[in-house]
Amino acid sequence: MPADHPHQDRPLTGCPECDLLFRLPAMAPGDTALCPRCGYVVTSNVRDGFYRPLIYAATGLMFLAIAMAFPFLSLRSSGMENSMTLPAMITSLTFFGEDVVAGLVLCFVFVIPALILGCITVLCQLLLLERHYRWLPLLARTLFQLNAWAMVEVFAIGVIVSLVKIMHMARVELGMAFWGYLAFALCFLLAMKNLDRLLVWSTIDRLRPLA
Amino acid sequence: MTTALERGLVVCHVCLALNPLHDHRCRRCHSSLHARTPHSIQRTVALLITACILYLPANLLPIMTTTSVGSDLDSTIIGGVLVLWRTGSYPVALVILTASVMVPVGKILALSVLCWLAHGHRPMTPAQSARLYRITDFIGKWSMVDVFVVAILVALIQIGDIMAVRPGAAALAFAGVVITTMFAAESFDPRLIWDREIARND
Repeated sequence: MPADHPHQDRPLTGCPECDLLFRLPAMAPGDTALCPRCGYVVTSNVRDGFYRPLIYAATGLMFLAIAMAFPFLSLRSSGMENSMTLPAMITSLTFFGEDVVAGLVLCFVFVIPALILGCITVLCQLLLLERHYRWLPLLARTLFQLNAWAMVEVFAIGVIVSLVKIMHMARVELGMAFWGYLAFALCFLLAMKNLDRLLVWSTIDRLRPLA
Repeated sequence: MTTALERGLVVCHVCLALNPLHDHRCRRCHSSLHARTPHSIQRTVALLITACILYLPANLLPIMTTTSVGSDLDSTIIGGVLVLWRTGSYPVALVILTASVMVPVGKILALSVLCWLAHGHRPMTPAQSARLYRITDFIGKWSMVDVFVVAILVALIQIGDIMAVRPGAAALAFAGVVITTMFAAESFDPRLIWDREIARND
C-alpha cells in the first residue's frame, strides 16, 4: 500500500474516539487537524519535522542524568542538615516497606518518561536517516501507548507543593537536581508536543520495504 | 457522515490506520484492534467499583505520620488540606483539595454518567459527553500529586530525633484509586457515545 503524505495527499482516516471517516485537510506547518465531529486532536503539522522532537528528547535525557546525580533538595533545621537525591527518594520508600509505592513512583516519574524520550531519540534519528528496521513500529507504538502513564508535570507540581508544606518549618535549599528535573520535565513536554504522530506513521510506512 | 464500522473498517487507536473489520492486529503498528472495545461498559464499571472501595482506606487511613520530638502525628489527606488552610497556604490547600478529592471523585462520577449515557439515556448531547470524556481522561493522572508529595517529604524530612516522616498505608490505597480510574477511563470506549446518535437518527 503506498504511503500518503499526511499533510499533502489528504489521506482518508478515521477518528479513534468517534469512528467517523474523513479526509485529512491539506495542512500548513503549525496547523492542527481536529475530528470534524467530536473535536479529537488527530495530529499537528509541526515545523522542522523530526528535528525538534529529536533535539528536545536528547536534551531531556541529559537533564535527567543531572537530576539523578546531584542533590535534589536539602533541609536545614536546628543545626542539622539532610540532603536528598532523587534515587534516595525511592530507596527511602522501600526502607519503610512501601515497595509498591516506590515502584510506582519510579515508573511514573523516571522510567516511563525516560523510556519515551529514548524511543523518540532513536525513532526520530532513524526516520531522519531514512532507515527502516523491523522493530521501528514497535518503538513508535511503545512511545505513544506509554505516554498516558508519564507523570513528569504532575511530579513537578508535587515538588512545589512539598516546598510550600515545609517552607514554614525549616530552611530548604534547592539543589542542582531540582533545576535538572524541571528542565527534563519541560523537554519531555516539548518533545511530545512537537512529535507529529501521523508523520511518524506515514514515514515508517514509506520506508517499509515492499514485500 | 459515515463511520468506519459502516464501511467495514476499524480505526487503529494508536496509529489511526484503517484496517479491515475482522483483523486482529493493525497492519501498520501491530496494535490489537477492536471495532468496539469488548465489554467496555462492564469493565469500566468493575474498575470504578474497585476505585470506590479503595477510596475508603485512602481517606480513612493516614497518608503519612510525622514524628516530632517523640510524639507521633498521623495525617490523612483531608487533615493535610485543613492544616494547609489553617496555616494560610490557601493556593496549595486548593491544589491538594482539587487533585486528591475533587479529581478522583469527579472522575468516578463522570465515568459513571458516561456509562449510563452509553446505555441510551440522553440528557446530554454526544458532543457534551465527548467533552466530558476528554476532560476525565486528561485530569486522571493529576491525583498522583499527593503520593509524590509523600515520597518527597519522607525522603527529605529525616532530621534525627527532631523530626521524621513515615509513609502511611493510605499512600498505596490512593495510588490504587488513581491507577484503577485511569484504567477505567482507558477501557471506556467513547465510540459508544456516538453509536447511539446514529441509532437515533436512523
